[in-house]
Amino acid sequence: MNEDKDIHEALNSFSADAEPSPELMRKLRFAARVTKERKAPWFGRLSLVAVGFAAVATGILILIPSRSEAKTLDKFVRAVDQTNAFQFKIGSNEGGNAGSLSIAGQDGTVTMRTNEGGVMEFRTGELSFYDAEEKTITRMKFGKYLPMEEIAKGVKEGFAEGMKQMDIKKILRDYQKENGADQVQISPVRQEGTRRVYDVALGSKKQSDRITFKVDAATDLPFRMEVSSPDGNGRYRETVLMEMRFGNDVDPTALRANFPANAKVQEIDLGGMVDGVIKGAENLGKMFGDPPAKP
Amino acid sequence: MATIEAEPIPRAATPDELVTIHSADVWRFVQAQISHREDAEDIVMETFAAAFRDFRKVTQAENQRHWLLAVARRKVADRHRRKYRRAEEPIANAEGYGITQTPSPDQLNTRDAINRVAPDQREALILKYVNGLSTEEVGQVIRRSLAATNSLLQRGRESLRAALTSHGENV
Repeated sequence: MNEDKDIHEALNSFSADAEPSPELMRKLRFAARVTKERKAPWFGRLSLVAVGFAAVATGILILIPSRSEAKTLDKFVRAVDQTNAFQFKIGSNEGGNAGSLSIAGQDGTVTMRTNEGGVMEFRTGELSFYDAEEKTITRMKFGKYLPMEEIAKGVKEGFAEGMKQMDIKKILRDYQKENGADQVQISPVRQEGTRRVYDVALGSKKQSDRITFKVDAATDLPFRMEVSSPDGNGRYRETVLMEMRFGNDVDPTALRANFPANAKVQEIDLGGMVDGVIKGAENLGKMFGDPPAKP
Repeated sequence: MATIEAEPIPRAATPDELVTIHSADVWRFVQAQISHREDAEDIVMETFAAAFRDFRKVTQAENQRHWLLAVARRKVADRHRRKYRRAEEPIANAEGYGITQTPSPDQLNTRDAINRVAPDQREALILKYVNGLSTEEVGQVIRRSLAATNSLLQRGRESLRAALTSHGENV
C-alpha cells in the first residue's frame, strides 16, 4: 500500500474529514420523513411496457423496408394472426433504478410479471393483480358494462389493419429527414450461434440515446432491442434491454399467472357496483319524488 | 496508509437510518468531485430522494452503500455533463463543513490536479481512497471487472501524479 500513500494523502488533503453540514443533515432527515415511496408499481411498469411496445412497433416499421419491403410486414402480421402468442422481457436500469418486466400474451390473455414479485393477469372480463408486499390478489370483474370481448377484438383488428395500412416508406423517409440518413445503420448479416443475424442501429442528433435491434435474418423480425445512454465518460451504457419472442418460441410458463395459493383474495365486481348505483339512484328518485319537469 | 479493520456496515431498515448510516459516505464521494457546495448538496439530496422514493429497492439491494454510491455517481456525471456553472461559494469556503479555514495553495492545486484526471479514473480513485472501498467494491459500483478496475486505478494514479507534479508538488 506504500506506493499508494501519496495518492491517498493527496485525495484526502481536502476531503477526508469533511462531513455533511448540520443543515444538509436536517434537510435529509426531513426528506426521509416526508418523501413518499412509490406505491403504484404497476403504473410505473405500464409506462415501461408502453415504451417497449412503441419501440418494437417503431423498430419493425423502420427496419422492414430497408431489408425486404412489405414482405416482412406481412410475415409479422401473419405471425401475430396465426399464433396469437408473444413474449417480451424488458429490463431497465435507467437513472440507477433497476427494474424488469415480463409480458406474455396468447388468445386474449395477457400476463405480466415484475422483478418486485408483482403479477398481473388480464383476461376477458377480468383483471387480477398480485401485490407481493401485501400478499393480496385483487380481482376486478368488469361485468356487462365493459364489453371486454369487443374491446379485445377491436384492438387486435385495429392493430393488424393499422400495420397493413401504414405507409412504411413514408415513415422511414420522415425518420431519415428528421434525423439524417446516416443515423440509420444496418450491419452486414453474420452468423451467431445457430442463426444468421444483423443489427439495425438508430441514432438521433437530437437525442443522446441509441437504439439497436438485433434481427433474425431468416424472418427479418427483431428478437432483441437495446437502448443505451451516454454515461458522462464518453461511453454508452445499456439502460433498457428487451428480448422478444413470437409464436412457438414463447415460453408456455410465461403465459400463466400462477398466483400464490395462500394469498388473500379481494374481489371487486365493478359490474355489480354499477348495478347497485343505478338501483340506488332509482330508490332515491322514489323517496324524493320525480324530478321537476324541464322547462 | 494505515490498515483499518473494516467493520460490517449495518443495514438500514428505514429512510432515517439510511441517512444516519450513509450520508457521510455519500457526501465525501460527491464533494470530492464537485467544487461548489450547493451543487454538492443538491446531488446528495437527489441521491437520497431517489433512495426514499424506491426504498423497497434499497432494502432489497445486496449492498445499500454501493447502491447509493452508484446513484450518486450517475448524478455527479449528469451534473458534469450539463456543465452547469453557478457563481457560488466553493465548499472549502463555506462555514460548518468541516473545513473552516481558507484553503491553502497546496489544497487548491490538489483540487485542480484532481479535476484534471479523466472522470472515470477520478471517480474510481475517490471511491478507493476517499470512501475506502476495496478494488473489488469499486468495480461493483462502477460496473467493471476487477482487471478493468485495477487498470483504471493504475492509470488514474499515474494521471494524478502527473497533474500534481505539473503543479510543482513533488509527490
